[in-house]
Amino acid sequence: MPERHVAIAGGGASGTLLAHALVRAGVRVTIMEPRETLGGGLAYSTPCPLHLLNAPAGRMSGFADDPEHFLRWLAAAGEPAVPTAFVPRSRYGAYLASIAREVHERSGERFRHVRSRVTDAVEAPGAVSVRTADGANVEADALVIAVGNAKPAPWPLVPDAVRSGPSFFESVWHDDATMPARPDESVVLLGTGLTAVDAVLGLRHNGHRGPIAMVSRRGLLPHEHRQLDRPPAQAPFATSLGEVIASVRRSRSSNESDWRTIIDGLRHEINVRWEALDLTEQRRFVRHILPYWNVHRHRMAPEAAKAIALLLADGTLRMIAGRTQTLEPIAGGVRVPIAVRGRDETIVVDAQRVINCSGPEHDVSARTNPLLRSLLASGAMVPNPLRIGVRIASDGALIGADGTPSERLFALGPVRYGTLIETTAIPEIREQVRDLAERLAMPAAGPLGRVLS
Amino acid sequence: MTASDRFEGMTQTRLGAIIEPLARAMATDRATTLAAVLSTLGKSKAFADETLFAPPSAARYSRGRLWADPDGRFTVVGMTWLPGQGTPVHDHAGRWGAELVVRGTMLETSYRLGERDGSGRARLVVEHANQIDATHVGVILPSVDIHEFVNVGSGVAHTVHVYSTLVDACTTFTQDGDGWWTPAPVALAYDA
Repeated sequence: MPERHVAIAGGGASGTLLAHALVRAGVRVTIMEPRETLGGGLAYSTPCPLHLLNAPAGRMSGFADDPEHFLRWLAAAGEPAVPTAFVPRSRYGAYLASIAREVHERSGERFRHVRSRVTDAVEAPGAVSVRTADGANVEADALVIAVGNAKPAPWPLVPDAVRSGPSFFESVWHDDATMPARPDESVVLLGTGLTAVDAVLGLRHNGHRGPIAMVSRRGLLPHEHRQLDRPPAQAPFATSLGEVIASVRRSRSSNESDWRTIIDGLRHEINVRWEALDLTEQRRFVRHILPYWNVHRHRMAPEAAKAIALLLADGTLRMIAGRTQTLEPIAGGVRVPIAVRGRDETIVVDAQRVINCSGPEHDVSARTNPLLRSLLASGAMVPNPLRIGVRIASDGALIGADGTPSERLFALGPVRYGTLIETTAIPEIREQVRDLAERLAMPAAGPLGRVLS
Repeated sequence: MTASDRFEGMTQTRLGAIIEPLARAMATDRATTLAAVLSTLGKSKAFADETLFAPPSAARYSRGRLWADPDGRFTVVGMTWLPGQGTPVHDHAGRWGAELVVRGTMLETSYRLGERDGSGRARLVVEHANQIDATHVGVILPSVDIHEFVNVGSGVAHTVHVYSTLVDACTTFTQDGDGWWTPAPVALAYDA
């Protein structure tokens, strides 16, 4: 049997873990990633020591079949291997980089890192032809799209005069977004989720001591991690998303169980129930439930929560629930008018720095990644009917415009968002990696994935 | 409300002005909210009445119950510290909450739990030392809840502590001199 060859677009967490699994299964792998170091993508590249993992170390193994792997790596690196501890994200980046090195060292000829970006992929009989920005052409049995999270969605009502000005930052990960020009400058964060929390911690770490206002429509901060030694609860039996939500509500109002363990137990359940919803129900879920699900499910490390609590208490940090009106350029900054939620009142904040902290752009047609654009143009990839992500089958295969799952094009990790609700965290990614590696190590035998709505 | 609650003497209106916002903050299940609410109460002088607090004792800091929620959702404790008095290094047994300095200046030294040896001893790493002045707060969350609290001012200090559920026991840590700390369970009682 000829050796199988899989190309992976993207060398972040999901791409690296898949490369490791495939090489171990005897598959030849070519990973396409412009950066020199494989492993940590954007999320794990932050050098700020206050940017911690959002899950305790004991739950962060890269391998579904080896839950203690990250703890052993910490111990071998001479660091405390405490399962309940929240470790700096840069350490996790180093962990992923060490997994990438292991792939390099152990696989010899079977592994190749092409330092370029994938721009296009075309399915031909018996192969997929993958083109990169530097003009290379790689033939493989399959291509896995592991390009990670999209850039933040653009914030509404930001005119070009503000967007292109020096006081506005499209992303917290922009080079100097959290590097204040003056320690006392006034900052507005557009968004109140985990990214906004990262922005606050980054600013403080870089010496900022001025006022910070964070704004979102509902003004919901992420919840805090607690009782870290408790494993996820057995997911309650639920036949609908409504029952899932009801069981979480019950657990929140009773003192008998921690709702966090129930939420954690529901991570898989929510994907299954989500798939079963019709389009109208999915729309209602996205509008009314998802913001609340997100702040309960994606929680802050206790250290981060403590820092945020102290800043809120002393008034340095202000939380505003409301809709921002059209931002205006002013001398040396930006004027941010905010229509306060539930009140007939507009607050005006003049800021020297405004940072967009919204979540990833889920509308795939708005994405700038050349590979995604070319696959959309060719019909190999289609937006899902909600325009949140793309259509994929249960095994991750892309579903093309003709409605059939591809045998050669697959999505991994955050790229599956929309078909799945929980698909961006390591515990989900490592299971997808295990299943996809098993699938790809077999010779192509027709589509295997179930076609989902 | 039980007879030992020191809020007993307060009018129902003033009591409501303290307990209701705290109860709402506890119901959000967020330390971020509780810290902000407790700080606001501190700035509005809600705990200014010195008779709320147990009298000082030369032996050690005094601990008085201010409020025990009838549904067990939270406890409010008032503490009185003579200059130099402080706690041993201790945890909060998995509770969460916030602490307000009403008068005086406290020094909070936070520790992170490191590795443990076979006999249950632990390594503690100093995270940071933070001076907390009047109307400012500290925050307790599981896994970042090991600290030492000392009155470093020149007068009597009063502090208010709000904890999820009753805190009747915790673990203290004693330094062994070789870099290791020995944990010991401690039962907590009220002085008044």
